[in-house]
Amino acid sequence: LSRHNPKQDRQNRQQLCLGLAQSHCVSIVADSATATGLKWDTPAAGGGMTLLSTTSLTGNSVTISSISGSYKHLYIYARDISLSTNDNVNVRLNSDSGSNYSFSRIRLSDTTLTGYSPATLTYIEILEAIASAAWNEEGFFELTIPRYTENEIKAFWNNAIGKGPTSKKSDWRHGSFNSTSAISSVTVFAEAGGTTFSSGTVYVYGVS
Amino acid sequence: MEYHKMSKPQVKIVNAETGEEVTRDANAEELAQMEIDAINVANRKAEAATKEAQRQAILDRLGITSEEAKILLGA
Repeated sequence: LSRHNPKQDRQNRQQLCLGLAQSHCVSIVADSATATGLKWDTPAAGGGMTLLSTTSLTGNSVTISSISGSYKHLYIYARDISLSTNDNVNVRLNSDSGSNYSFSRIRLSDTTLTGYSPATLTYIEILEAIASAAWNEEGFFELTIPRYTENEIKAFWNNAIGKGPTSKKSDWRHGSFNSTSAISSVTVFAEAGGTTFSSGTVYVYGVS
Repeated sequence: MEYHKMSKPQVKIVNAETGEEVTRDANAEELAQMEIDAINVANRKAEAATKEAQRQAILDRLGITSEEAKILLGA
């Protein structure tokens, strides 16, 4: 155990450390209100996730709009997705239907691994879900958009699991969205306009 | 597929700030986009079907099954 940081000592803060790394230190500060005259220092403010929206998937298309721009990153998780017919589930950002989405995908289809890198698309392909609410046939996905408010091209990372008509599919997608606008809405939709969601819930989180 | 001749797809919009939810029929612009999407889907499926037919034709010419092809390729 060692003691660190004389400058902080002058501010009545003592750091006790295991080794030399700052991350291995704890701080104690003077506090006349306690019996010992000491207390644990208040930790620096850290990050966290704030749930911004919980939305059931119904109809053909669901848009979560007016997403706050007060966070660093956007994280979206959707679960228990099933559809009225076998179909794909896609996502658009800011209702942008231009050819502004580019990604590559690794898919494990049962035990077969394949790659896919389409030309730019007008959406982010997310998962293939089946017309069944059986627990092992529903679709689940997560979508992360780092630094989603910045005036730069956006990257996105997506993992998904769904069971298509013939096989279980695990997907990993990395891509970019050709827009410098802050992302304020996310649309989750069934690929064929006649398909409707039978179940599913989307959670949108802001990450500090 | 002409969606305006069928029961119209439903669109739900949720305001993340207020929690307000609106569910309505898809409007003309959204229906037009769905038709474009449907055409793109049909094109992609046709392309995949063509590739599958080409693959099967090669297998038939070689007189082997897809499982045997996998063994040949070490897949």
